[in-house]
Amino acid sequence: MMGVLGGMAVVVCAWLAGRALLPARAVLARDRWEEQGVAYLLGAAALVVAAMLATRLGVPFHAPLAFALLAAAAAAGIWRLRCERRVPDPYLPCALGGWMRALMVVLGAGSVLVTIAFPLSEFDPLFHFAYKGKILHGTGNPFDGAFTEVLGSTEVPGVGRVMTHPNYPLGIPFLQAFAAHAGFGWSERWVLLPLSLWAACLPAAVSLALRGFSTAAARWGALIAAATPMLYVRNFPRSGAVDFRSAGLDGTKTLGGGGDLAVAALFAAGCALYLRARQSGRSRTALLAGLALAGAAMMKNEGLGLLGVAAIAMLVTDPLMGRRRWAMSALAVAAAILLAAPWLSHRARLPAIDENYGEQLTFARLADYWTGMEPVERSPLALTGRVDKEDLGTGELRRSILYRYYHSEFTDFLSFGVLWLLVLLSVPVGASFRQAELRWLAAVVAGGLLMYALILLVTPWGLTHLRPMGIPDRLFLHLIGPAAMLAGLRVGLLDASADPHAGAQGREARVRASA
Amino acid sequence: MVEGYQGAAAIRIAASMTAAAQLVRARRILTFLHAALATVPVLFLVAALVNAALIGFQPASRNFPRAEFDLDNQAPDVLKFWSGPDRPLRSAVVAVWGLSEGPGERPTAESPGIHLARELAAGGAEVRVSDPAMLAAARVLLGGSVRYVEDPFEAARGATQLLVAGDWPEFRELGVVDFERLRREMQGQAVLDVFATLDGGAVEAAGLQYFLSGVPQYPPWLDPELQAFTAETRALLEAQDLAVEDVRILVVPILPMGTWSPRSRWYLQLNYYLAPARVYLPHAQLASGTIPQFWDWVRRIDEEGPAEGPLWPEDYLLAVLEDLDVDFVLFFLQNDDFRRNDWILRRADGSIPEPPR
Repeated sequence: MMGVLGGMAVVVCAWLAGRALLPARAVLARDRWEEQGVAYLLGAAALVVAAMLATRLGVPFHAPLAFALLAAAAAAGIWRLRCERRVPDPYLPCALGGWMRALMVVLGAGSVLVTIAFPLSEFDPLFHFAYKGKILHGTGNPFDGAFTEVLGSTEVPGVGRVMTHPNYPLGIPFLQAFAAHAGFGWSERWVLLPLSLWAACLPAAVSLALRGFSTAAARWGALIAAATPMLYVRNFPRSGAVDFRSAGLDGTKTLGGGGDLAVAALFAAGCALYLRARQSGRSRTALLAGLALAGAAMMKNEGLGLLGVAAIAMLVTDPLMGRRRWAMSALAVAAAILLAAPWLSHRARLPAIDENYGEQLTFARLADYWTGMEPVERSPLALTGRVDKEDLGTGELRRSILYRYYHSEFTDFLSFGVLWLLVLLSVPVGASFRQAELRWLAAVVAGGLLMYALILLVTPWGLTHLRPMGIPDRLFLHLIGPAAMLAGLRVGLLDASADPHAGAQGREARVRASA
Repeated sequence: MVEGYQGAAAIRIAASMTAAAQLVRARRILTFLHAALATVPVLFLVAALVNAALIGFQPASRNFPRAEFDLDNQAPDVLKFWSGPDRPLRSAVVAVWGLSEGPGERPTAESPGIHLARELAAGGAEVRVSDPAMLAAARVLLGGSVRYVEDPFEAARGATQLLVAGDWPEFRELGVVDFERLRREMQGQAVLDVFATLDGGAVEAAGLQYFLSGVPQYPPWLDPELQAFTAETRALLEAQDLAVEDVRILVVPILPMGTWSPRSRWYLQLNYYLAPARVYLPHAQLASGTIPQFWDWVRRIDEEGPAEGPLWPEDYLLAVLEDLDVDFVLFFLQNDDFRRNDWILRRADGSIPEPPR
């Protein structure tokens, strides 16, 4: 019982923190649904960033710190809600029509329930994240020997403590440890509660991004994002009735305690707030975009790479942007780097036993792998001597494997629907190329796909065995937000002329003018 | 001339507008198609919730499909298992329980029970087969090469080995008492289970040797044996008057690795469920890393360890115990099935830890 209350307390406090952080609706126009979804994402990012900063300053993550941060978040949110009662700050009408609203409720509520339907029960959620959460909850120390002794101690170099991916970010573990402290004990099920809302919140972030253009774009973008099966499950039901019998049990769901959905949701929120900041020129919105991007970087290492992709895309697609846009871009990126800095400095002191792509992505290595072979001698069958090396496809180049992977993902309609076809048809060309936001979104999606191609090219994992483990589809999941924004924008802008609400820009412009 | 140029330009503009309109239409159609695919996640979410409710919102190994047995790759291993140099097949009396794969399935030439019974008989073993419902159908496939027995215990009487190749509830529900009877009936002790049908712990508790041949479909951390061992170990640690977060356990392989399967990375589960107790492992960076690094770990342990006995020379093991201030040593055999007999927990001084009261 205490476990469920603890998990709920973290959800409510994160949401309240996000409500406190969001600017007034007159500044960042939005509807109720968009506000709740983005508020939760921002609040979760804020809790994680604050916890990391505090532990980096030497305060152990014991119950007093966890309760203090949750109380501060709750107090800020409650204060904001009381202020809103005094000054009317109306919402925009909901972007979604009747059946779309019902669909969002079904998908959102369903994703929450399926996440907590089972206790932690998959490899990545257990060992990459929850183990670290347990250590944080038990010791309060992100430099505990569990994190640092995988290479062994100086006295006994050959013997160490097992930990998968010691340099994975601590965002998910911190959220779990918050829930464990608030629930007065670790619960294998209820520490998942704060992690159950990513899929429900992501479409709201997409909708918020496109509100700046038109209500129709927001509606279509949100629908495209929410309808993408990969937010919930991959490759379902590939085997028909068998998959229905094993639904939720067979490790194909993306909901749960992993980090991919968290990266996807927070990256979507970061992109959304950045787009709105560009339009409105509001520094606070740009800073919040930075917070969401920092949050994404603290959920999984890929989040850091996506931050880099977003920043490069800003420079490449709009080098001649006006002063206001420059300022917003610089603010968002600087805030993200600054807020992620405590984690980055912490990460530098953690052993990188397998994933250290900053070191591995060198030109020489890329060139080597581009022309090199899959290390066949390391494949499991060859190691056990069951199969001749020749039978394993010696000579299969990594790039041909990559091509196969990408092709199969782009045409995996059970996982991604027709999202990638929509993205392809939405690439800005001709007159639409003049729209900087479209160029930026397209560059972010293309840059993300390229980054993952480079990472897979040098990965120390057995490339030929990754697909059954959900790679690269779980990586492509990170890009659903900007991909849905791009597609929604192209589809929705057609309806702009008939749009009764004409987007949020008009209202924000009126507020600016009156100010 | 000018008129002709303007006409061509107009045609170009009209053509590009048509193309743009088609693109718009294509985008719109795709969007509706994509939205229609929202039925996929809705169906998944409903099915997942129904499944969760049916099993009480708590996954267990029994909720997963039965173990997979790859006839082409695994049957030769099974036959090799029965006919080692010290166990000639001609002197073996093998009882086979289950000729069809389970209820509702008819035996075929490809059924593991039929295939293995035929191969064992062809190799010279005396084979007695028993099946809860399909003996008559099996007769057509096996002919007179084997003996057909209704009662499985009668089939096992005097057997040197037992092969369980049918996932029948009749076998699944057997307990320690039944296996004690089985031990009394059998001449040998080896029980090889193809589909993880039997309760391995109960088989071993009755004094028999249990071997699992198929690849279980449930995740390793749901293995009943591993769960039982972890719970026992945790209770044992808590009974030692030590704060769990201060307990240090050194995990030491005592034999060369028996498997390369990533499934056998059970020490991760142990580490997770015993946390915040401190679990140490030789070459932990390889053991925790990528799958190729794990294979390197297996190779390295095999290279460093002697063929039998503890991994390191005794003085090195003692030095490690002292340097790490270890409280317990967990000796283990590396397999990809999880038998309680594969682990031996001792205090650092070699004594047996006190059991929980």
